[in-house]
Amino acid sequence: MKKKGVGLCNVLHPSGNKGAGDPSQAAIQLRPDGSFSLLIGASDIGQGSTTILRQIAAETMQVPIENVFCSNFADDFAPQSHGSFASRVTLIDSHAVENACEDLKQKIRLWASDIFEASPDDIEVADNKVFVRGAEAQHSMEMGKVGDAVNWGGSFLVGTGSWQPDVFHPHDPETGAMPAVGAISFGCMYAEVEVDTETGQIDILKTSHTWEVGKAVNPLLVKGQINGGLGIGLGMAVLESSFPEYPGLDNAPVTLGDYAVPTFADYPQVSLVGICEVPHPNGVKGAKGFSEGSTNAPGPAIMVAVHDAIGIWIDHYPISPERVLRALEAQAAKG
Amino acid sequence: MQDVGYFAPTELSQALKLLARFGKKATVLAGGTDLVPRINYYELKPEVLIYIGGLGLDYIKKSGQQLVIGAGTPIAKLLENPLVAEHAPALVEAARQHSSPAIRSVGTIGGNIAHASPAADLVYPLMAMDAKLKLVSAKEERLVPIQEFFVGPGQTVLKPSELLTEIKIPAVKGKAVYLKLGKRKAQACSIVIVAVRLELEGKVCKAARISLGSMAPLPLRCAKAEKLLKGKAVDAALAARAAEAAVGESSPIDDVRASAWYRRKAGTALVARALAQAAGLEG
Repeated sequence: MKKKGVGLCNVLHPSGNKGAGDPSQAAIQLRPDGSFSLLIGASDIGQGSTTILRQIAAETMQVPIENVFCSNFADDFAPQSHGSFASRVTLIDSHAVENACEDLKQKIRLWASDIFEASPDDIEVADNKVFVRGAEAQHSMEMGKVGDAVNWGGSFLVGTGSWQPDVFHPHDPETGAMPAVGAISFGCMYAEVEVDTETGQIDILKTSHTWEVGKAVNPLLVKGQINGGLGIGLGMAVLESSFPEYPGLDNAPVTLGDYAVPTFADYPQVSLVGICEVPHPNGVKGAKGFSEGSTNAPGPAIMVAVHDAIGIWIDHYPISPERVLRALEAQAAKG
Repeated sequence: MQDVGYFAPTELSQALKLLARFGKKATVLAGGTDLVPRINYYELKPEVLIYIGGLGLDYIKKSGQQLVIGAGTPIAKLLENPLVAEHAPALVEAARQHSSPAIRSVGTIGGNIAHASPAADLVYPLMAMDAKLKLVSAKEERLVPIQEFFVGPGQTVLKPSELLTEIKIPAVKGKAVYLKLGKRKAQACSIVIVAVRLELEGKVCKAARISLGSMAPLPLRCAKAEKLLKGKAVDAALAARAAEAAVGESSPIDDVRASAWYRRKAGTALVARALAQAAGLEG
């Protein structure tokens, strides 16, 4: 017999550390052709952080993103970043990049104040140009020419920046508040499952998965993260085991291929993705990290849905067909 | 890959001469989807590889009432061929659940059979349909019923000088049903495979075929359960009894994919379900 059930869960995920400090540094240099080299220490391990940081740099410098170059392999010599973990890069490195860009803009203004014979405060860096506010027709230079003139004038302009969330402080004796992390993101997932009570197989029919991310700097990447997290969480929930040699030591896996991660065929037929934005005071434009959290939701949502379907809590991952059958048998024995 | 002798004959007669010459030293390479990983990861060391992809064994045709499939036919072609869809829908279902699109486009039906894994998807619908295998050597050729082909895990009646060239599926009566459980829905080695076929007159079973995969060291035909069905009207209760009898004939083991306990439980449910579907009962 096939039994359907639905489940809903709320989860959260911290973005960045706090207690021990969680700093990042960044640098951005103006190149002779007017493009920019962004130096960051956080490696993009697939989550898209380099794209996010280029977006932040392009937005702050007021230049096209195509003109901001960033190597993902610079972490041997780039400024220090605490790294890609704790879903922290969007929250923390974005500040370092923004601060580095503001620093570079100020250096460009100072350089241009000599050229234009104007006060640095009257000089704008915008639209991929440098110009004197209110006198743009007479005093304006394309960024390509700025880079060229800086170089051939014997100068080199580099902006540097850093940031970290407020470092640890003891909890407030009156309220008990003790912010432990830079920000917290919130997720919610709904799952519909069908349990085959004779084989124990679980079909995930439909999911809907929403994350509150402060500000979606890149909505497509946010959706990709949520769907990717669904796959990882789905594998954890119903397929993978931390003891892959189960049920005997004779069956030790030889390659990663022996480990059952979900295929597209295992994904739900319908997987809806939602983004919710409540700007966070600690984030650049309100943005915070969330991506690892997207792996947290599928497990509990599916566990609740299985309970709804067969009336049994299966409180071990993976919720394997064998665990389902054994639980149904134990339930039948109890009567 | 290590250095091996490699031959890619373009005529069947050349391939058979090579097999006669190298005998046990030769390993036949078709799609390579089982063989190459075994060479690369599992320390198989063939001395001589004979590639049979150039022999023209990639065909599907009708011969009289029989469906004839060349052993070198990629599994993907079974999915799109109208003759297979008409003659052997259970084989199409087995091909659909076989591995993944990339592997199906290279792996061959002959390879899936000759590799002699008890988890080989395509073997079971062929057993349910009384398929015969054409084995050819330089000296002779013979037809072997598929259930007599396997003698042990990875072992067959194929002599070192012989090549599996063709699969012949007779026109059989009754509906064949293929069901599979894997750890996941694609690219999954089977936990249990069930293929059945029932020849019915009204509701009465005139002949039955029940085969089980991944439930014994060899692809298993369940003779006792088949006998239990013969001459009786098939209903849900009889299907359940036959399913228990069929699984009683098996000898599943604990392995990385599932325990023997689970295989027996789920296998029983699957056989009953397959019989009900073949008999046109609900479920």
